[in-house]
Amino acid sequence: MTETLQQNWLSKTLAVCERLAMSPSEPYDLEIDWALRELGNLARVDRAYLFHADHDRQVVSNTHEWCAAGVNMQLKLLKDQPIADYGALVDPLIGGEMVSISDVERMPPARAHEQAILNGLEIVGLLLVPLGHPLRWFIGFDAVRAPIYWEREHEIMLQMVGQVIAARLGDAVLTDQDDGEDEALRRIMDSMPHTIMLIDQSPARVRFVNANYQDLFNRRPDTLVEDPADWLRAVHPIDRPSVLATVAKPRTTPTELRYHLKPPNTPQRAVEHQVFPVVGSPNSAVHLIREVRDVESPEDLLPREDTREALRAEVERLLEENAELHTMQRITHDSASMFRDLAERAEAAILVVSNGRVLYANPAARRLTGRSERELTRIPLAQIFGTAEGVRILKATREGYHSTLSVTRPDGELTSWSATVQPFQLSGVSATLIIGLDVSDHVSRQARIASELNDMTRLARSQLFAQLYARLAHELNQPLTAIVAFGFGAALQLEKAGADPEIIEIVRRMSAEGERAGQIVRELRSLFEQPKPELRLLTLDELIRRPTELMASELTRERIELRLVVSEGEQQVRGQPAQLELILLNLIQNAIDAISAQDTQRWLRVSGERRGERVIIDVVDPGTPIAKDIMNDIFEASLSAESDGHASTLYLCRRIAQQHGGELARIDDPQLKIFRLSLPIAEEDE
Amino acid sequence: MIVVIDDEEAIRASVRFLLRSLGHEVRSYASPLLFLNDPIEPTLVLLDHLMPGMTGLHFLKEHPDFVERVPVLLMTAYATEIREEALAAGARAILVKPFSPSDLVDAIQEHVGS
Repeated sequence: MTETLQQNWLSKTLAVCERLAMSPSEPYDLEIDWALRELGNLARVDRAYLFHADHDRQVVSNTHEWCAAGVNMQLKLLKDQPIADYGALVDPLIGGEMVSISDVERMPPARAHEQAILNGLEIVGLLLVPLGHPLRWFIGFDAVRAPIYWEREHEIMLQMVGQVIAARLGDAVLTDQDDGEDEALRRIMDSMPHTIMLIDQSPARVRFVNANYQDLFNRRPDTLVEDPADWLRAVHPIDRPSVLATVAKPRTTPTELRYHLKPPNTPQRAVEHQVFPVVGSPNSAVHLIREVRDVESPEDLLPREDTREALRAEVERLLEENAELHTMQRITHDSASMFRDLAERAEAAILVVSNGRVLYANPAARRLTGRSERELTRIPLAQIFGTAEGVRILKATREGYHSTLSVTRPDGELTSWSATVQPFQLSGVSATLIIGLDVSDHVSRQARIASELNDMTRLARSQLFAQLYARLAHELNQPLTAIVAFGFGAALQLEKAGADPEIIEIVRRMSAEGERAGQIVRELRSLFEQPKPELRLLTLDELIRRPTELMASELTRERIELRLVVSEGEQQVRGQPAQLELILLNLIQNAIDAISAQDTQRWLRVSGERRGERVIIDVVDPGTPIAKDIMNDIFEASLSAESDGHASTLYLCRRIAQQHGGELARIDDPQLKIFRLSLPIAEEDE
Repeated sequence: MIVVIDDEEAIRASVRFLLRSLGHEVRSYASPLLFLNDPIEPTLVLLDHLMPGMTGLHFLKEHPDFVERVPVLLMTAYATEIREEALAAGARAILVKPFSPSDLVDAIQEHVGS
């Protein structure tokens, strides 16, 4: 009999007992027939029955019988049977003992007579339980179709139900318990998993208690006789009032409660307590108390409501956690296969690294690093990405980072990856995902642009410096010319006046020194002389197109949308293409820097149109407008010098614009940052 | 009579002092426009190039008859940029500032005699 079936058996047997106890007193036969059917089905036997013995115990009669389908009834055959006909088979019953034969075929030869009797009745096994001593009733199970190996539970089942039946039929089996002579019953009671007490409530008297009491309450049963209410002391103080109110109240119907015991020197345990009033004696009740070991719910083990809530929450959390874990495992599994599937086909290099070693490298990673996956897994990260970047990858925080990685291939070629480095946790393992796109072309293109910008800036600077020096030379030459002329004239005048020859010589030397200073200025100026710059006609489209194309990849990399608006027509300006491009390249680069540095919209507008006799080019970005009070200063070299890169050339750009007859200005706008380049329109035949 | 046209007062005064020391009659003007408003016929003109209102080169191009009739020596600190253009416009010589007095005297003697 399985554990589950046993429990099912117990509760259903108790239900049978309850119904028998509560049913109207007469007629009672139908209730007994129902009870036998229930018992037979619960025990999975072929026959369940009740026998009555006469006062002299000479004749027995089968009074009630239930048979499983296909099993012959014997009720009518077994009326007023002389007990002697059954010989030794029923002797134990008269002595108050059970009769248990599991397999008639295997009975020893010494019991051949009994075996023959049972064979005659087509019984292959039986279990008989006496009710009362001296014998008045006995209750039993038959096995007809196949042997049944009787368990203790079968005995208890018959004993419990039989007691109730006997009590209802007016022959209470416990009436003779006062002197404790019914050892058979005691043995049955002791074998049950319950602590069983029969208690009279008024006056308080313990009429029976089985051996399990000591195990459950940690005290000897005989001490209970002196103080029947003493068992309550083992009840947990929290539960005690409600337990007392329930079990101490005389009642006519069975009741059940659960509470907690905390006897001295024993751990607390949960118990199930059933109270069966004795039929016809509401002052008495049978108490069955059982520790709840095979709990159906964790709640049964809890002493307090708040703790129950805590446990319930914990259980729910665990369930939820397990659900999440299960989901995570499933997702992880699915994701892993999906990841590998995607990674194998990805154009980007994908590496998974852990503890400084590559765990996985997709084909693109192998191609871009120039190494096999086997090789990648065997070399340290530093050998792939360089020491500094290798350390940075290992120390990456949970947020990850984006960077341009330099990767040295075994053939010495250096490639550049635009990469995302993202640490993650998978099944408790710390790893880092590196996804990199080969941007070597982009980087070299950027380097070319930077170099070109640098060259153009240097050229423009030298041209500007030459012009500035020419202006300086002019300003110096004027007073030097005057000094020389005055000196020469003065010497002539002194000669005419017959002045001291030494004085005349001094004046001539002054004039000559002035002349020499002029020569030095001229020689210095020649050092800065530039070839005459090429001036040519440029259309508005030409002027804007090349700088925006040069910066296209930079704009793409920074995810900045370029809005190009150039009006149609053949508007032209005359100028040095490189210098004018330099202005726009710097304005665009400054805008990219501003957009990238701020959390703002990511667009840049370059527009060109003709307004009157001028061409107007606006470079507009949504970056923070420059404050009015420094608007006029932004072109000053001192301020611009504080910025790095192209911003420092704003001053130079304005000078270039001015040398082309134009202007570069910052337009005041509360929302946008606008730089405006204006240049005069040039005609073909100028 | 030698005329000196230069917007720089120091140049006008020093060249005028030098030439007068050499015995020349000299008149000076701060701009070509002021000279053109004065109805005189000089024997030689010392003309500065970079002046506000009208450059020396501009004067040469605007008054070819005068340039053909009266020798004009152009004074400038930017000789290399305008030398060819100035000579083509009729300038007899280019004096690069700061010029030496001897160069000035030689140029004057070459074009008007001592």
